[in-house]
Amino acid sequence: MLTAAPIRSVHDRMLLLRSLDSLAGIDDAGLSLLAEHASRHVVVRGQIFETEGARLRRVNIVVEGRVEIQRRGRLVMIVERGRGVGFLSALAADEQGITARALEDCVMLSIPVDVLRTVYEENFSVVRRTLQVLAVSRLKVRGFLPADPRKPPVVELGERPGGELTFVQRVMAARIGLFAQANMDAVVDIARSSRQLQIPAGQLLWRQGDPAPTYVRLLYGRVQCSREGGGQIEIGADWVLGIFDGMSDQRRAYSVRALTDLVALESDYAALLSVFETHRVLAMQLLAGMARPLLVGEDEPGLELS
Amino acid sequence: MDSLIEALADEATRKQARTALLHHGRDALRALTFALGSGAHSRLARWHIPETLAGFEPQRAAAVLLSHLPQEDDGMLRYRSIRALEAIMHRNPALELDKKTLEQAVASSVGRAFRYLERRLALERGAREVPARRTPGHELLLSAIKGKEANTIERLFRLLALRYPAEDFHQIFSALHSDSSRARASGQELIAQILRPPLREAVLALVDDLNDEERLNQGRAFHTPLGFDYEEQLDQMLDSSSETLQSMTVFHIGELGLRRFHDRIAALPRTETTASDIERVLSFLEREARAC
Repeated sequence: MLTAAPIRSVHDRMLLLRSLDSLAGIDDAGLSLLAEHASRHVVVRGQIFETEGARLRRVNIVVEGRVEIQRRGRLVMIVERGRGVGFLSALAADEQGITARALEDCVMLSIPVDVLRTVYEENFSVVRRTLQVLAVSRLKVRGFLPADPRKPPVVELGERPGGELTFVQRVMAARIGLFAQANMDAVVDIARSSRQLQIPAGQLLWRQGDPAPTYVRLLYGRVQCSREGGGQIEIGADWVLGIFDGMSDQRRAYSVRALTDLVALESDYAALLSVFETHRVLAMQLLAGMARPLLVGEDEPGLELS
Repeated sequence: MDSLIEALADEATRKQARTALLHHGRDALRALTFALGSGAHSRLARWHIPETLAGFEPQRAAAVLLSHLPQEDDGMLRYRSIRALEAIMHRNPALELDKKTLEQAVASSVGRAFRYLERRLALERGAREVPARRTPGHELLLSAIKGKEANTIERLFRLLALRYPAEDFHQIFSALHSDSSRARASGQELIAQILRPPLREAVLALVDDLNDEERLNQGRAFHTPLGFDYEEQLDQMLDSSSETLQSMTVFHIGELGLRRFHDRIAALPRTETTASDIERVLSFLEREARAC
């Protein structure tokens, strides 16, 4: 095994990181940044190597073995080869931290949290990959629907816009959730890439399995989101739909049909990524917002970008 | 070559497009240089040109990015050009950037930051004088100007880092935003040691704790305060090179029903960004005029 060999140099660590599926998609510059600051960390079975009560100071990538993560007495997850220990807590800037216990003898690569933040600042492919992983996790938690059907959201019809929104009205409409306090340049760039849709009741917005280059923000109306052989849920105005599909690089996770006439703003996911690439603070806020519910074990019904 | 440049807009084709453009060498560099300064390609494609240029021969790529900086109106593109220059310098620390062009870009950023500061002050003062001006459009405009002011200062420090590579301007910028007053004072002290007048006074004014009016006064070498009242400030912003600010100003004029701006707004060029707000506000002002 690769890990049986000593992991001494940056080159060794780089090769190791490249072999991990979970890091696929991170470019060489990103892997090299991680490798440069990572150090080998070995723990024995049963050892508790992180204890709750303070912010994490380092994260680990499991190269060999399994780790159990707990927070406030609740099992958060079991981490296996290629997956991270403490990433959710670090991304969410969580004051509580985690308790991590090795279920087997483990070899890990350890990265200081402040270095990790620098890596996110310097290399967008790391941000991109993290968005993918978190989006898949969030979709799983919601049963691959926009919200957990066991906790259906309040469905509002919203106020129907009088006509075609102007550019400034689209900017105002884009200032919701994460973007309410965001730098205006970011909001403007998002609004600029949006198009207004008028969809009659009964029409399909997209089918499960379709490509997912766009996402929509419902301004007015109600839709039904459903999965073949799975659940369904009704969603109303002020929701953003389909964004996690683009983020996770997957096809549409669910079908969406208009239950009433709809007015929506459709945006290209590629444009949103470009905004995050430029506005890293915003990207970090998004990652924190996506990580927090996974960490505390409560998916927040509501805007995917809230 | 145009198709390859346009393919930069799409994440699915970007990597291959970059590789192909690099393979085309000088022809591609020429095409990218032209595309950076022209409106022939989509905004999204243009946004990815700086990083693509950074993959070419460093001296030439840096010269293209640097020479383009002072005249670029798109804030995102300015920022990405600076980031691309940072990447080139990170990989080629011995490379020397043209100091004169960098100083022009620094001066232009300082002037821009003071211009935004003055606009913000005029709007805040005007809303204090007439609270009815505090509409959603006013808040949006104010927020946009604040954002641009903050972005410009952040980019200014990136440019200073490129101009003075031996100094750690990134660290200084972080210190200036620290919660610790000691760290902030230390950041200001370093600026005072590194920069020469009048840049020193202007940069310090942008980052220290003076009141806004006093700060504005300290930047006179880079921006002469115009002393506009509220409506004069709106009038000036109708000529902004930022289509966003222009559109928001038009929108706000519509909210306030300022009919005297009708002909000014009617004469503004319609672009993809501005047309919808211009048309909406013109028809609203005309309806108001008829009703009177």
